Amino acid sequence: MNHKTFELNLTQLEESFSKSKSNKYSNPRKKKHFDQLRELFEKIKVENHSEFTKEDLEDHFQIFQFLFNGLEFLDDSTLNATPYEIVTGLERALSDWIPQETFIIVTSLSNKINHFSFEGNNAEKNNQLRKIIKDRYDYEIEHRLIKINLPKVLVRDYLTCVVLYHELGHFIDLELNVSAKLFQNKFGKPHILMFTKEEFRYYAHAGEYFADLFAAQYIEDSSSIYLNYVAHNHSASNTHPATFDRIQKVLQFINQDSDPLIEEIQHVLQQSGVSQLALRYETIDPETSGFTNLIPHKVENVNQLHAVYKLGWETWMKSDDNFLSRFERRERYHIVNNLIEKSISNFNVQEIWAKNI
Amino acid sequence: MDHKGLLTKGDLKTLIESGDLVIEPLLQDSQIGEISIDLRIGTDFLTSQLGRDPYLDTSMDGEQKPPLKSFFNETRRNIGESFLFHPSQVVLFSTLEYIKLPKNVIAILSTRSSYSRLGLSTSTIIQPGYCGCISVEVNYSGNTPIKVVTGARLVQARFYRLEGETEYFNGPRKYICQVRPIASKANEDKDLAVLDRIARDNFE
Repeated sequence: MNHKTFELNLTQLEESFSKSKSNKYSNPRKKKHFDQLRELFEKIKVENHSEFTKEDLEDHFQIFQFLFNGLEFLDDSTLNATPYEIVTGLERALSDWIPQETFIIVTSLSNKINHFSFEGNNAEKNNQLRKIIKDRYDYEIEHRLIKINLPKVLVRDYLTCVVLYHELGHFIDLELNVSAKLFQNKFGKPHILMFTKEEFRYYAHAGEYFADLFAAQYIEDSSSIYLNYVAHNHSASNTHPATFDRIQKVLQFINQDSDPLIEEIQHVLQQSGVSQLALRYETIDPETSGFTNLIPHKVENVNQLHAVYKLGWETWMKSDDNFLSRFERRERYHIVNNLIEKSISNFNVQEIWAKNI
Repeated sequence: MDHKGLLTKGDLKTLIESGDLVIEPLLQDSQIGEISIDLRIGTDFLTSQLGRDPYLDTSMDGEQKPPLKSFFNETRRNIGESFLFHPSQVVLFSTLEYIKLPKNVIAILSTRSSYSRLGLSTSTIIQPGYCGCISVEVNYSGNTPIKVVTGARLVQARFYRLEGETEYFNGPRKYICQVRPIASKANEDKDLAVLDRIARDNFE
């Protein structure tokens, strides 16, 4: 970055803020985060940029990326855009692992049909950037964003959106350094010193397995069904284990069978003094659920809330033979998704009502 | 033997307790009145908007025509947040409550008098066996925008028991288990194809 490209970036950011400032956030923490990003930007704007050194420019390049990225996710996280119901489930899952006040789960909507991903740095990298901001501008940003990408067209597809639990698992992995500790245990050195293909592969696979198991705690094997659809028969790559192996690992966890990797993960979690992997869902019997009567399921607790997705999947997978068989394919799709959405929102509304009455 | 006609508080409670009438969530028992049940304005809205097309076309749905929903903008609120009704703007909202009616009970919706007096009105009939949140279309005849809190009791439903049972899903249904307001599908009525043929083939 030189002074002219700095100016270009600054102007582009000005344009982005100009567009984003009309966003309405129902969540006051998102509003506050946006306001803080803007305050920081205003501080940067009044600096004497012509005197910036190479190091100043490099630091600001990082800060600009942080601001651009924050705006990108905030823009798609208004109540009108974000998959609100599923995000409320993710927030509950998050609170099982990390104090939630510090974090805001935000989403960015992609035009690519399979684009589910987590985007972010671990706490250490994040702290480095915050230190730069603190040192230069004596300014602290209160919240951190947990950034998840998902396909725009699937934003109300509660069957496929179970994958978001997997993406949240990647955040937890990075934040708690689970894969990094697994790597350290296996190779006897920090993961940042990984050089060989085998080392890289081990680290990447450990992260995917952990994210799968993290998700399975809440949604049982729901994401395996989706995985088997988008990555059927995929063999292991440098970044991902074979689909078959991933599905098997989830099954072993759900069945509480012994498995060396799962045991090692539990050991690492225990040593870190955080939660252990556990089955955090309460299975709903499709036969006795509200769905069979075309009404939302009366969710009784948070564990059942997470299980609604599995109920949706079971209902969909058997829709040629169950109560849905009388409906057209597209109607079935809408019925299942609508019933999942309303089951979740009814629970949320009743809970918040009870707290405030 | 169950009586016919307008259902009273006791009848309504009995139906709800037996699960024959579903209203979820029913946040307060006091929503059940002597001859009606108050329903709450939900969190999802469709509001009419001006677009590039000059008019709403309810004739037969064709490839070349924009869907009616393209004249509406979808917006959400959290419960407790407010929504503005503007004069002359068509607004559809979903009730907060998901309803399932027995096969022999019809429901008639109207605005609660507190809101009618402000100029907000609606008229909706819910057929026996219907299931879903109710899409309520509101006509606002006042001349000053009105702020309404989502979750407020805006409409009331009166329930009438019929002589016999009906089967809601006997025929094709355009609105099933909806949980957000759905724009009109008037141009998807099957008989429009017949009317289209009549216009094309008989008067040339």
